[in-house]
Amino acid sequence: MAIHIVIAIFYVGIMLVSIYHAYRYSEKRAPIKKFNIWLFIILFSLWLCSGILMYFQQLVPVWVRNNSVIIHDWSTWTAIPWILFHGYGHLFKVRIPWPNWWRGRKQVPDWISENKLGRRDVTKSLLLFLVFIFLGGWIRWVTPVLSIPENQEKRRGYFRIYNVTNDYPRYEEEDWKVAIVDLNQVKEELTMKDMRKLPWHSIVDDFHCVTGWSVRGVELRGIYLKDLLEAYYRNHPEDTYVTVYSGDELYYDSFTISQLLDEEAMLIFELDGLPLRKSQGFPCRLYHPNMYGYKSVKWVTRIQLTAGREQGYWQTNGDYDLDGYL
Amino acid sequence: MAIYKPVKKWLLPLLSIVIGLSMGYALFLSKEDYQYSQWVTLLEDSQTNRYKIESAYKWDNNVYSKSQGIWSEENSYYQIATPISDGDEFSFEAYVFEEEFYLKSSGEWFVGTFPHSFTEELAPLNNPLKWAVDVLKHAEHISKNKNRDYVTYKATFKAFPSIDFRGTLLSKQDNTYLEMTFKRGEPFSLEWVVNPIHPDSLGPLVSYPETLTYRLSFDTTKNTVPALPAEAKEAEEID
Repeated sequence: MAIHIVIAIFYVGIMLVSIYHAYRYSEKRAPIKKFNIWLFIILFSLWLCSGILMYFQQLVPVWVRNNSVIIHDWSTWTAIPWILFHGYGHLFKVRIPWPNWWRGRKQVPDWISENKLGRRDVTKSLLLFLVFIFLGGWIRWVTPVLSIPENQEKRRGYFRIYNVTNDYPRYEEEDWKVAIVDLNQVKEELTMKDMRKLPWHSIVDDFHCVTGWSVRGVELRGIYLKDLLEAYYRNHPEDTYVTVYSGDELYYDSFTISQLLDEEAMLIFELDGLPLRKSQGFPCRLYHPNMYGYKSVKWVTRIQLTAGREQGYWQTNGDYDLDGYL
Repeated sequence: MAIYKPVKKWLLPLLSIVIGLSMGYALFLSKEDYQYSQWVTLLEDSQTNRYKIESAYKWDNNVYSKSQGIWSEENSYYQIATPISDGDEFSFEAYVFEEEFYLKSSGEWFVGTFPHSFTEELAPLNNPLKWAVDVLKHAEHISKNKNRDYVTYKATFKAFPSIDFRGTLLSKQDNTYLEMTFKRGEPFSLEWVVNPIHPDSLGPLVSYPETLTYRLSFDTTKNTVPALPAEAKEAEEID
């Protein structure tokens, strides 16, 4: 994690120095150059600020987090085509027929030069803005509209689907099985029928992704892992670990036995009152209420008790915490 | 010769006005939104207390059930009575916990776990304050009236997204409202008057009420919820 921060500081530092020099260069240059520099400064600032908020997501409210992810996405996908188009234009000397004054080859027209903004104009605009912001607020106050309940549902957020494979496994409920393998490598396969014999519980919780987005108030229904694994761990030592494998045959993650049994971790079969969608891990995914979504292995097909702790997929292929607590 | 300055004279002020008005409208709350927030806050803050509750439920102005008991967030106890056709009453006691409930009727004990269809018959007694918060999400308008120590909130409803209330499917409504009175910040009374419109999804021969009325009175109490008697542990599992 420290390496990430060092690289980020180094990168941002270089960018800020470059932007400063580009800004100084553009000061006495044509309007088109000023425009390009300012566009880049605005996009970079949006990208940087939203990225910082996403990195320190635990410190900010969920709505700030979710909007930061959207702003980060938009600024990235605006900046990249613009940079590519700009670079292409320079490389292949593509000429767009801008007006000559925009290129700096002719004097700026009167209707622009006469409208140079001074301090008085900015002050007047700010005062007008403040007066009308309160006027807008008063209009809202007296309007007989009730919008909070509806907006609470809209601000809930939405799921983004991530996979580590190009495709994902598809099961029919009657064909799906989960294998429980204990420390003696004794394997037992359980079907959905067996899952339905255990007590099912519903919880409503907020789902958090380590990349910064969250979905609030998600109804999750399934079984507690302590009810499923009770028979398998009874005689096992306390430092037993559990590795949960996905049916995509690539993704997996590991937990201490206590994290799954004592912290209300679940195997989930329904989300918001409906069976999981195939992309969400149908028919079964893991869920830990105090951990990030990358710990929620989808398409669970094997739960293996181990003597030592394995590194999960994102510890081997990335830098996420093995204990992915919120 | 006058210099033409359309940006400074017109465009910039217009932009300031439009942006100011829009932001003000978007960022500030409406009066009803503010009253909704106050009401929900009162309901949520009240959930930590214990209340003596009396309730009466009427279907087309006929008493369907009455109850009295003590509610707390952890567990509750009710004595419930339902009139039966020969003028008599069927009564039973209910001990309600987070994940299970115990019923005592004619000296026999029954136990069930949630979710269970019994929740429909019990609603909103299992958690009247949370039930009110959930119902308010569908409110069309909210109003507030203050009178010395009493504050009354009223929510009107035009439609529900096919929710169930005690076995009745609620969709479009005609003058349905929920009215709650608070006395010095504590819930005092709740009245829910439902005038449902017969849903198209139910056939014309399916029995459907013209009006449902639910009244609850609250009284803060220091009494504890009666403990579950030992004999309840022998309870038979309910269907």
